Amino acid sequence: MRTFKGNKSAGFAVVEALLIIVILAGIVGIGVYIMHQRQTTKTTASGATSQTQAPAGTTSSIDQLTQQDAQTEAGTDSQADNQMQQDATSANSATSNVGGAYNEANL
Amino acid sequence: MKRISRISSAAILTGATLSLMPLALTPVSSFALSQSLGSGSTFCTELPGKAMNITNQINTLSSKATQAWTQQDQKLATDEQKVDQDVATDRQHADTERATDFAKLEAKATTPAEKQAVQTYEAAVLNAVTVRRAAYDAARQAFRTGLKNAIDSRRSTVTSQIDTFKSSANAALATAEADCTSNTMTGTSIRQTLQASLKSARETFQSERKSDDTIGTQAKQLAATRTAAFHTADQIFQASLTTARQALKQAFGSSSTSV
Repeated sequence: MRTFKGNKSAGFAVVEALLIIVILAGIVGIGVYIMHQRQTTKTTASGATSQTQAPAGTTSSIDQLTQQDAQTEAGTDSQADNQMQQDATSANSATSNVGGAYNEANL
Repeated sequence: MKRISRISSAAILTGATLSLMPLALTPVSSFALSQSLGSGSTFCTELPGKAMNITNQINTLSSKATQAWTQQDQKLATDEQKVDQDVATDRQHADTERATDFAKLEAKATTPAEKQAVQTYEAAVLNAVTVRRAAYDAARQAFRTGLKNAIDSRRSTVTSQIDTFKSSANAALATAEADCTSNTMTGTSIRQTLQASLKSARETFQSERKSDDTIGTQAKQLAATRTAAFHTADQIFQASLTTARQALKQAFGSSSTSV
């Protein structure tokens, strides 16, 4: 009976140990998975950032900066175009009005 | 007696009718008065005052057109100043940011060769920026000069049209006044001739004004030309930057990814 008890107790210990190992393996696996996911997200975010803003002090950054400079300058001219075209025709009505100086039918 | 009475009644009626006819035909309106010859018509009497009103009105509106041109010049000058200020601000901002990038780039150079390469790169970038900006300035100036020339040309045309309009109207009024003085035409005839002449002068002016209204189209074409010049300058600029970048990376060798 003692042997049986002892064997029974030892068997239980092995099962417990295996269960604990499985649980620990699961926790480690989940942890690794989460870490991997975080790393992937971080890398993706880093890659996206590099597409919009190159690291400072690089030729890519200087290229971007000079391109933005040119685009901003061209945009300033384009934005002013509508106003200038409008102003370039602003005297039209005044000159046309000269033709309305009289109504000959009223003579 | 009855016959005599009837005859006398008819005679009285006829006589009364005949005596009233001149009264009925008496000119009581300006239209009727204009049937009179020349200076005797109401039209001719009122013509000098009306002619003066027309001349004054033409001169007043002509002056307003000139004032509109002055205001137009001021508006365009303001537009140009705003663009110049915005561009200057943008360039200053870009220069500051580029200087910061240059400083960080210089910090990465460790060997004399790398330091020299960075200096060369920076000089090339600055030169490319200067060339691009000069091209932009030239294109912008060409746009403004073209627009000013188009406006000046149009003003010259309109001034000539207004002068012709004034001359035609004044000539028509002078002819009408002369006709009134000569006393050979009726007021109605003089009036109709004047109306036809003034109508012709007005319609000719208004027709010309519609046909030469192309300044908006010209401004758009000039803007398109300027934008095309910008693109050309951008392409040259990008090519210069690529060449400078490749030279720098070559100098940095294995650590070229850091720059």
